[in-house]
Amino acid sequence: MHLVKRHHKNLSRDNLILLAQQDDYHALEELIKREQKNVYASFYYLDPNRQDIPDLTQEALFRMAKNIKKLRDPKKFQSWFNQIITNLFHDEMRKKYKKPQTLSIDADTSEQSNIVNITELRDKKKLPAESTLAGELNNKIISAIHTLPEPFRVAIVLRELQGLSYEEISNITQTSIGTIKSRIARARTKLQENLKPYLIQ
Amino acid sequence: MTQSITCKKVTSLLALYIDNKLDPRMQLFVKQHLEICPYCHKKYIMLKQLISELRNAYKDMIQDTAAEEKHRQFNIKEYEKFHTNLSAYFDNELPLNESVSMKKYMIKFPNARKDLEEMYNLHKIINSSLLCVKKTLNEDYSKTICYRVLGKNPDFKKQITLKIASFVGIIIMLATLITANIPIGKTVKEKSIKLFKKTIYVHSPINHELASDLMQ
Repeated sequence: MHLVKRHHKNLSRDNLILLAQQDDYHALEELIKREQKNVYASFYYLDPNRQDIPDLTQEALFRMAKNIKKLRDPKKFQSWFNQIITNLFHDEMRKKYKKPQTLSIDADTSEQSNIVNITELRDKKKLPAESTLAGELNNKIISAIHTLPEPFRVAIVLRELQGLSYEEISNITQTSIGTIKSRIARARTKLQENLKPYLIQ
Repeated sequence: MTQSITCKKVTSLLALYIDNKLDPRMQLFVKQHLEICPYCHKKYIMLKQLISELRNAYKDMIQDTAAEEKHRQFNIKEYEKFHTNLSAYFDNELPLNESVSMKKYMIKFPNARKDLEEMYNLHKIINSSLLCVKKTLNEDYSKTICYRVLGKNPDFKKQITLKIASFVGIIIMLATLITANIPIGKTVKEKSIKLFKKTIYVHSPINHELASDLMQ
């Protein structure tokens, strides 16, 4: 049993996928182990509200593990998996917009607590995950990415963090390659503007 | 007729004559005068040369400025094109001919390289940030997700291992007790067979009592 596991650690991702497709759960486990940080990071950059990122990560990994047999070409895993991630992200965003928070007019507004609950803003500086991150620069980068409009954010995350080609990104987001090209270019210019002091070395 | 026009008059009319702006009669008078008067003819040739030189110089100047303007406009357009294509060039997503022209442009204007370097720096800091973010995930979801896919209780394996562990533990305990019997039994045989015979117990608990008795 131990030998089998060690064997899996040295396998390439493509081989792990092939084994996982043939019901090899050790291969699947190893695959998840390798991918989970990547997925987590993706959601971390995609979702500016940063709620339920561990849940989203688990859900994405679960969908991947469940549907791995549907993937025909292991070489397309990266783009296929990112499709799952972005779909999940969009679903989540839609859910949030479907349930808009409301302020009741009739409610007793003299009580401060009511208003505070609804219009509560998260203190971006004191999130537990962030406090462990090294440096101011990292926070600056993350918030710079978070301030980008959503389509630009998705494009830049898929390009810079996941290393997908423009064609793959255009397939995932169902837009033309030209649009993706301009979105990425504009996102980069925005980021360069926001991070200017850190780029001159 | 020829005498009716003086050299002075011709001189004043020369400029108009060169431009063909005199009425035909006057034109003819001037022409005839120039044919007979070498002084005026010389003046005429000098003036004609001067005017044509000036005109050519003016034409050249206009052409030059137009070309310059065109050139400058082209540069701005070229830079804009360079800038919009830079991101795709960085990602290696440009068609070959365009990426070659990007390279040529950067050779022509070394300052343009700075834009590319800035993009590279951005890429670098984003990736360093990515590494930091990846480190913040301390949990390992691989097992729970595998079990979810299998449709089993995540504790299933734990239960089995617990059972095995407890079983093994019991066996080890029994073994130690059995092996512990032997030396104590030997000492009993060697030192106090009488005491051993007096005891009724056969099982292991007695050994402790026996041992404590022996110690005393």
